[in-house]
Amino acid sequence: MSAQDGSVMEGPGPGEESLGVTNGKIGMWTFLVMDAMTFAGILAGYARLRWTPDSMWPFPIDAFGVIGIQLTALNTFILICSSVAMVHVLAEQMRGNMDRAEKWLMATIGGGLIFLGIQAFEWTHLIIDKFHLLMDAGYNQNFPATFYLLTGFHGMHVAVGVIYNTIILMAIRRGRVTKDHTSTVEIAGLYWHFVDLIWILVFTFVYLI
Amino acid sequence: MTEIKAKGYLSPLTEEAKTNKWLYLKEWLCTTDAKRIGVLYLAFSAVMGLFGGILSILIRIELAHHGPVLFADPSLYNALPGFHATAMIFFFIIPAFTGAGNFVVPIQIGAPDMAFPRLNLAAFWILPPAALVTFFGFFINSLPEFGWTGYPPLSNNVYSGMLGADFWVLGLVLVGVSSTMAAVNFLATIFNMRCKGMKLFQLPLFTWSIIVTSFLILAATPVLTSALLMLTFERMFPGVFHFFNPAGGGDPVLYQHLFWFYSHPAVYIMILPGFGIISSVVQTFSRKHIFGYVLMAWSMMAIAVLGFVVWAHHMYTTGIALEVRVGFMFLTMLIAVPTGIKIFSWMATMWGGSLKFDTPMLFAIGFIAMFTLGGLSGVVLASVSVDIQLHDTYYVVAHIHYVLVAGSMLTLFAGLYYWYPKVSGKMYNEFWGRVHFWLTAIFLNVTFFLQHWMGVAGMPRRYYDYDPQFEWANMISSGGAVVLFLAQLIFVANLVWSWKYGEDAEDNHWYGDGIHLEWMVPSPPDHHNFPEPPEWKPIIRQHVSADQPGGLWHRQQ
Amino acid sequence: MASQDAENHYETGWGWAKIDWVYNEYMWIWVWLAVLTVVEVFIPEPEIFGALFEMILPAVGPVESLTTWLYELEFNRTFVVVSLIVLALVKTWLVAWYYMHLISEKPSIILVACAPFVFSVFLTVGIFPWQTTFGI
Repeated sequence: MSAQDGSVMEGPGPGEESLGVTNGKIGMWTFLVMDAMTFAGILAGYARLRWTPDSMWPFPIDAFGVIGIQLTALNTFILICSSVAMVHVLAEQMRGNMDRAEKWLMATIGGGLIFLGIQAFEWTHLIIDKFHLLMDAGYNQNFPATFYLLTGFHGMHVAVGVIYNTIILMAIRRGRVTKDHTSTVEIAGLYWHFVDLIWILVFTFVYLI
Repeated sequence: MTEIKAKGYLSPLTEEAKTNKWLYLKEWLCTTDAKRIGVLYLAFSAVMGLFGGILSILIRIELAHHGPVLFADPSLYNALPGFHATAMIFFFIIPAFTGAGNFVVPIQIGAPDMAFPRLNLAAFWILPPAALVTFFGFFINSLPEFGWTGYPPLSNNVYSGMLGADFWVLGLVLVGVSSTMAAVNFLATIFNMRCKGMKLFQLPLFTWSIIVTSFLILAATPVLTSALLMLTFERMFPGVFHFFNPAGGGDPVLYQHLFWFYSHPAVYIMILPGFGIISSVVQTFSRKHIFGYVLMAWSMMAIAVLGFVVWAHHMYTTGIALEVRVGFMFLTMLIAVPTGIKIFSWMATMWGGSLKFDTPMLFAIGFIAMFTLGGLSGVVLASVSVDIQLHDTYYVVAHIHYVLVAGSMLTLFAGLYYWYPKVSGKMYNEFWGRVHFWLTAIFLNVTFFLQHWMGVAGMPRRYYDYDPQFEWANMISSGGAVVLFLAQLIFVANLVWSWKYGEDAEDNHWYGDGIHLEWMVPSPPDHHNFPEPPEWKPIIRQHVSADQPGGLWHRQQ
Repeated sequence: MASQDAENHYETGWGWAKIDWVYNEYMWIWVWLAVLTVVEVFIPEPEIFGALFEMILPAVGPVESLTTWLYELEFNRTFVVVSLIVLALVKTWLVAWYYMHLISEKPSIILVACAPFVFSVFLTVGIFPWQTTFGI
């Protein structure tokens, strides 16, 4: 068992012949393959439904309005900031500065929470004020359906990421993740960046194209 | 209280458990040892396989005569084919291969255990609840009747409003979670925990097949999950979600695309580990290295990649563009090439070998012959114009059973007989093993061969009743199915009886011809497989004739 | 061997930090991501920037003509779709390559990371509702 995993993860470490990374990293990357394909299924379905001829699909600007897209663009920016904060966590941890790492991790979690808050606000607004107007205007009912499925599924990932990062934060506070446990933070970071990466695609395909 | 006497990994871990069988049982159910989890997987899949078998017997008895035979109510019959397929695919074949992989792979690569032992246990323990959820309709008498494919609109809340359908969908999502967890674990293990000298192109072909299968599971299963999620939303919130409902701007063909994007690779998930098992068995019982090792590994990868671009051949009759269909036909036929490479490599391995016809080898040879037949009828079905005629007939049933029963199941038997001495430390009864083989091989053809003819003559699949002209063929098929099922009881009885009363097996049981690491450890292996990390002396993997250095069993010194 | 180095030399070498990007480049990537997001919003909907300028800038002559121009600006649809897909892929690549530090990862990990991309392209292209001579 490699020392860096000792207190956080149990299980055997890499063998004599390996890819030269921790087991956990391969585990996370292969998990991300699976997760990416889940999104691929939904996104490809979205593409098919939307580009079927005469699908009566509204342009995003008509559906969300100028303010809506501005707000979501801000949300994208917040998630990117949260992502870069996560890189800072790892960088500070590698320098051995756990106080700063902890602060950056709090910023990361805060970014995720703000993202979720804005999204909840947006959902409420769309449900109450917007989408029934679209339906009355005869637009494709799959526009809101795919919208909620995609953003909801992504939002669930953000929520899971926030919980994941909070667990790491608590582990740092209790001294269970120290400057030696870079791989734990790195793997959490992989998940968090992946959530950001998926948002880039969802934002482009749902709100912009 | 008698003391539990068992060797190797079967022995109790604590002193208390030696005398207390409940503690011993708890030790098993909460184990993180990949070998024990593998045995749990195999036991679970055996139960589910028998369950699926009973369902198939009910189907065949109903079809023995035209008109009602067993069920006065066709709707109960309608539910059976779907549940038979669900039980066999998701709860029998896939977990059985996962179990074999759990037992064999860590030993074959010289690792003490899987990379994430607790994740491994969790992946197993998702399965029994998933089975309970999937088949919950049996308990509350609300069985969905849309088959294992669950195509909307038949599966939406209008035509299948029953609660059992929701449980079925949820159960399948859970199975997907379980198998992806196992796949993540396998990949991390095989990529990262090999012993010294075990480079990627030294891996035994069974381990290679588990790598490729795990990738297939990772990339394909989530797409089924997203399709099932959409289906659930549509069922749960009618009038809000219309992904597959044209009335709301949806598209029923979308579900079929997503479903087959999973379910076509799924047939390779079900057969590739079998290929790996056959490669092990054939080389051991031919006393030769596998022919064309490198090409065998690459052809599995080619099958996997091609397997992702052929799914629409299940949908030739759904009205997709002719150009698209022709493209998919070409790609589908292309798969015959890597598969052919494998078939011919096995034959070349046997060629000039010193063959030993023990039960595993009999199953392996039976597999090669039968699977070739199944593969050939697959090429027939791949052709667009022919498929439009044969779509949804018994020809398809015959094809899928030739590749899954004569393919996956025979390889599974070969593997179970082959590794049984290693798993249990005992030897099964060879005579009854052979009886099992011959009954299986003969009655498999009795059951399924005539179904080719029925399909070409126009008998549709899944129907409760059929034209009287097919009665004689269905009668033969049903009789064959019953004998085929009963023959499997011999197998179960043989293995269970031998576990207790069999002769002790040797470490390298098969005439000392096993060359992979699992045959270098005691039978049964110890708790952590190896007392100290093993070293693998690389084998020359090119084909060399017997008189040249590296030929036959000689290792590179 | 990232893990091995991390055990003993976490302050100096960290496997993927042998290219020392982590200490200086990631903020630049952040800037790039932000800029590309702005460009992405601009291409399909220039009017959003018109509204934005209207809100934050005083209505003086030249600015007013700028906002009017932004309101009326509209790009060709094909250009919008193609450029948005390309920009989205560039951004995902930036995140994967630098933040998920594929840049200093073993080729095998990069292959694993590329696999879902390839398969999702298969999937999307395969199920796209292509318009052909013989109907859908």
